[in-house]
Amino acid sequence: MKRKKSSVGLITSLSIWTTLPVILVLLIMGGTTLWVLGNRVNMLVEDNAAHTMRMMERIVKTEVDGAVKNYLRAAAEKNRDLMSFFYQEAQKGEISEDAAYERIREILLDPEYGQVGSTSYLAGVTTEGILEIHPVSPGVDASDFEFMQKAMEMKNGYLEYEWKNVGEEEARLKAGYLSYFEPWDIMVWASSYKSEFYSLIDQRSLDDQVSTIRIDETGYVVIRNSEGKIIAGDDTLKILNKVPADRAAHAVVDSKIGQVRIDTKIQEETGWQVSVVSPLSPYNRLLWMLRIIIGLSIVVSAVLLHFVIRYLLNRTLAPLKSMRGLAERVSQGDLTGRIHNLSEDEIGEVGVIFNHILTEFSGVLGNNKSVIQVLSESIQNLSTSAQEIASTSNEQAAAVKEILSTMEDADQVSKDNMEKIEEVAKIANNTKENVEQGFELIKTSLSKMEEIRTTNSETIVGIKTLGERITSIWEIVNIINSIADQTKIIAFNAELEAAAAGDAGKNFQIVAGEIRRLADSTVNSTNEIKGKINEIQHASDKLIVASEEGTRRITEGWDISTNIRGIFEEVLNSSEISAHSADEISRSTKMQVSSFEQIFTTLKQISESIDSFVESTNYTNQVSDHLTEITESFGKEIDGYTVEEEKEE
Amino acid sequence: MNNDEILKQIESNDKVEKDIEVKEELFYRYLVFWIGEQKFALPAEEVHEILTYNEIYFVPFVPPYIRGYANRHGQPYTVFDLQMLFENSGIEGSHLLILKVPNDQIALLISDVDEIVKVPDSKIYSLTSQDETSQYFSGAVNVEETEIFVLGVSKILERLESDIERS
Repeated sequence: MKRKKSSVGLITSLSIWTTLPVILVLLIMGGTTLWVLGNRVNMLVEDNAAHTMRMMERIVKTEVDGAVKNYLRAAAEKNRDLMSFFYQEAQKGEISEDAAYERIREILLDPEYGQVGSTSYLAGVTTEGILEIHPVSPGVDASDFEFMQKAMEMKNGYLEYEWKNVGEEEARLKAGYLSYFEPWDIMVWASSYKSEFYSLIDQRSLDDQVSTIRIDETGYVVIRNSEGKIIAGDDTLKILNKVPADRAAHAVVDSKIGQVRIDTKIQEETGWQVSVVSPLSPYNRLLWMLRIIIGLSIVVSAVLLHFVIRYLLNRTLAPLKSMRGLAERVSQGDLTGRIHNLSEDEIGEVGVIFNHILTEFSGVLGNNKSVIQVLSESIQNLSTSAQEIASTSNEQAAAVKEILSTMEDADQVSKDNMEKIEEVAKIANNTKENVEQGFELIKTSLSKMEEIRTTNSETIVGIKTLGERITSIWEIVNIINSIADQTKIIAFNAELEAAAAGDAGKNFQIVAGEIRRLADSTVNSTNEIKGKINEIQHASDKLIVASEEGTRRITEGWDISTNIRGIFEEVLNSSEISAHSADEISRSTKMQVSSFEQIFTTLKQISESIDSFVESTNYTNQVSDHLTEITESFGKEIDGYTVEEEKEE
Repeated sequence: MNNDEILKQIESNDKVEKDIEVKEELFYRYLVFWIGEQKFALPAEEVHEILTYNEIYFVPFVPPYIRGYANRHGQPYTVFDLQMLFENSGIEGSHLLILKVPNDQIALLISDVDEIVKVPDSKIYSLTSQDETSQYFSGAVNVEETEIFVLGVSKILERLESDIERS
């Protein structure tokens, strides 16, 4: 159903996609043509107006020049004739030649007669360019002026030139006419500023000429003077006052006959405004007609093209329809159909190829059926072996997992060992440190003991010195004692003497007695001192004995400490060795543990690999099952196709 | 004891003397000294001087209690060792008592001088017994409830004379 819809869509879309570009091209072409034509028309009108304008300028100039030229020629030639008359008079002998020349000179220089226009005058110039007869500057050589050279060459005729009169600010266009009188070699020169002759122009003749000019039947020309008054022509549409009188302007305005183009130009010499009125409505009508024709032709051609394309497409797609029916049959599994009534064109060739493909496809399907049978057998074999592999690898995985759990236990044991050994190593190191500290303490105590021994010896020496000192004090005390004894004896003697003296010696006896008592107390004191000294000596003796005992003890202690130091040295060595050994054991255990871990990791990897292998095998199983299913469904698919051979059978 | 105190005592002594005189009791001065382990006394007026550390020059052919001679201001003094006399053993005396003996120069070798005491008349006793040892003493004095023999110099000299005559 969908396919049918798409075929209809194909025709429609094809017709649309072929018609649309053509319409687009036609539209572009028509638009371009119209645009070009419009431009062309505008240009034509403009050219026409410009042409008319130029013609009008020429007419005005011709009118002005003709009037001026005729007037000046008349003046110049009349006076040459007058000059000729006087010359002939002189030839006849009526007057002398000089008088004749003088007469004509006076006439020419007469202010009223000789005036030309309002400011100019007649003059006589030689062919050498000398102003022979001139009211303002007679005898001046003007041969250097360009116009004079031109005049010297012409001798007769009209010429225009720029001239500035004495006392004037601007040079103005001047016109002059020459008439040559040969006997006296004088050119009679009648000249004037050109503007002074505009009043001489014949306006009626100009009006006649202008009124006859028609542009496209309704167009016309109007000339106005500088005040805006119409000189020639007739403003029949009354539209000139709508546009400003610029020097050179053009405008498009609406009027009762439709759009009108007005070109205005001011004539240089006269200052007149020349306006050319050109009607645009005929061209506009033409352009509208053209637009309608082009639009209609585009629409008609689009419709025609559409129907032609539809017809052609229908004709072309007819064999394709039969092909579509066949393809539908193929899609339902019937490969027996073929395309008949094939045409000779490309579509016919496609039909031949389609038939060929169907035949080939039938063959391939037949082959596929046998191949699928072989394939399904192989897949079944593969599935069986995959199942076997799966069971084997499952067993393997279980075994590896057992090894793994054993290894885990072993690893745990070795880790425990390692921890314990680390503790042992730590304790050994601590012991070593303690022993080292003890050793240091013993060393310190030894040195202290040495100090004590030294101090003790010094003490003994000190005590001995003290004893000696005391002995010397003893001697001194003895001396004091002997002195006291002697004193006592002397006191006794004195007392005896006093006693011998009887009453007279009584007082002296008291003195002597006191001295004796003093001596006695001295002796007592010294005896006390002696006692103290004895005590001191005893004490110091005891001290010495004690100190010596102390020294002996210290020496014993020192010996013992030395022994202890030796023992400690041995202990230190042993503890160092044990700490070192413990460290070694710890390191070995660590290595063992890491090796164990490596083995453990490897085993885990193996286990994982086996697991993944089992998974892969399972996956293979699944795949083979899947393959079987696929093969079966493929077989069913192929069985769904009806091949010719079967039909023939 | 400073000088002032001594002077006061002297003054007080004067008063005592007066008191004594009032009581009409006589005091005698005795020199108490040691020979060996025994105290002896001599009336103070019989002792001339005490000498110390004088050298004793040995003299032969004299009784053993004559230790020899001592030099006192150029005068020779005969030195008696009383212990030798009493107990037949010599002393290591260091002091000499120069005695006032008329027509003779006698010195006693003593161990030490003890004191000079004032003894009231009531405390002086005459010796009554005539045994061997007491023949050299004139009497005894009681000093602080202790009996001290007073040497009889004349008797000792008599013994010497007799000994010299015998020899």
